Amino acid sequence: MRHLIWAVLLLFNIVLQTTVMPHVEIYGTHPNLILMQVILTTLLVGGQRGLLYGAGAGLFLDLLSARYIGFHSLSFAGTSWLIGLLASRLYKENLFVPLISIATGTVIHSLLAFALGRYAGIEIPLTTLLLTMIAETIYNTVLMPLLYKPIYRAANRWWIRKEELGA
Amino acid sequence: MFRMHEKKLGIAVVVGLLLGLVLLRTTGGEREATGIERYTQALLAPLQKGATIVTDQIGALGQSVVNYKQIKEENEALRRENGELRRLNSQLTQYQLENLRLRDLLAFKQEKEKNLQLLGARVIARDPESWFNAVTIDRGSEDGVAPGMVLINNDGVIGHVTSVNPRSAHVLLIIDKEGPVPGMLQTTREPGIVEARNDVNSQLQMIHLRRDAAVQEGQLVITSGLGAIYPRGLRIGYITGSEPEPNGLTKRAMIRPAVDFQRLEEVFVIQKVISQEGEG
Repeated sequence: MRHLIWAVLLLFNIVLQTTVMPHVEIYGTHPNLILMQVILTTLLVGGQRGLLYGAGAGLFLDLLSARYIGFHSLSFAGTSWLIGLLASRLYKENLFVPLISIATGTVIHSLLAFALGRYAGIEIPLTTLLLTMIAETIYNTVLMPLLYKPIYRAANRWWIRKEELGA
Repeated sequence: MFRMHEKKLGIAVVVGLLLGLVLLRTTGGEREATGIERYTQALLAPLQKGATIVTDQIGALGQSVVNYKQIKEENEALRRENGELRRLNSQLTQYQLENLRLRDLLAFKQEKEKNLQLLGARVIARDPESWFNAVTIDRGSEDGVAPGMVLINNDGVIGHVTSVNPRSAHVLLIIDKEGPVPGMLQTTREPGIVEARNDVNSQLQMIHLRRDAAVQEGQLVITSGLGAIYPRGLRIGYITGSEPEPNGLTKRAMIRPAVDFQRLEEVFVIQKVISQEGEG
């Protein structure tokens, strides 16, 4: 049941990401809600489980885009794992931790996506990477306080067992 | 136990990573979507469609709020422009009408030049009291205007100058109760005194007509030339009706003035009478 709730939330975020978010684009970039969900989940459940959530969310996006299978799953999984490592010993209810995690996670995700893209043969200019990374980091970090508390409460209530929190 | 779990996870991650890298390299570019990819897309499509409709509607609503502001500003700008254009249009119409009037006056002046020495003038003020019928013109003694000079326009006689300043003159109109004009019926030469009517504003009457004088509606009344002020032959107005006077010996005729006194603008001052109607 808890996975289903998480999946529904993911679906909701994907729908928003693909329909609403393009309307709030700044410098060709918009907030990455799916990445934010993955990073916040990782903060709550830890790096190992976060990696699985990231890989799952990424795989769904890969299937949806029907191109470059592995691009999203590997980048999300890698981001979750690294964020899990960095934030494993921090107190999750402090708003500062998710703020830094989102900013760092967005940078990590951009770099991983760049590297994986290059590996797959997608030409991403360095300037595009930098601009996108900076804009998306700012955007995600600014939006994070709005999303963190509701997600944290929802996680506590519906999909994460108490003993798993901060695992 | 813990190590075992770690080991399994490690293997899964490595396998996943390798699989991912292989797939990433092999599934790029344009290709036919697989069944699972098509199902994923089909699963999301209705949700995306619904969200897009809602977003578009919210966007349209937001846009209409933005548009409302823009339209409001535009409306105000257009109103201002409209007001300015109306003002210009009215000014142009005024110029056009003035041009027509001046053209008529010029033609009139040229026609009358052999009989009368005329000076063009403009009405610049009207008497502030509604029961006096007088105007002020923009010509005065410096232009050769003197008391007693008669004012006309191409429609007919207007009045006479009662006082003069260097650059303006006061004119008593023939529709004023104190400005009677000696007149006559043009066709029958029947004389009478034309004066303002007491009962109807801005209308005239001709009194002291003989009881059996032939008075017909539409007849033209002109100045008779009797008296010291008005030269003969100037148009006064048209007969609209007649009735016996209370004394039973004479009758009076009602006259519609030839001049529209409500719209007096350009006038002529007769400075000198060279020859009167019927002379030379």
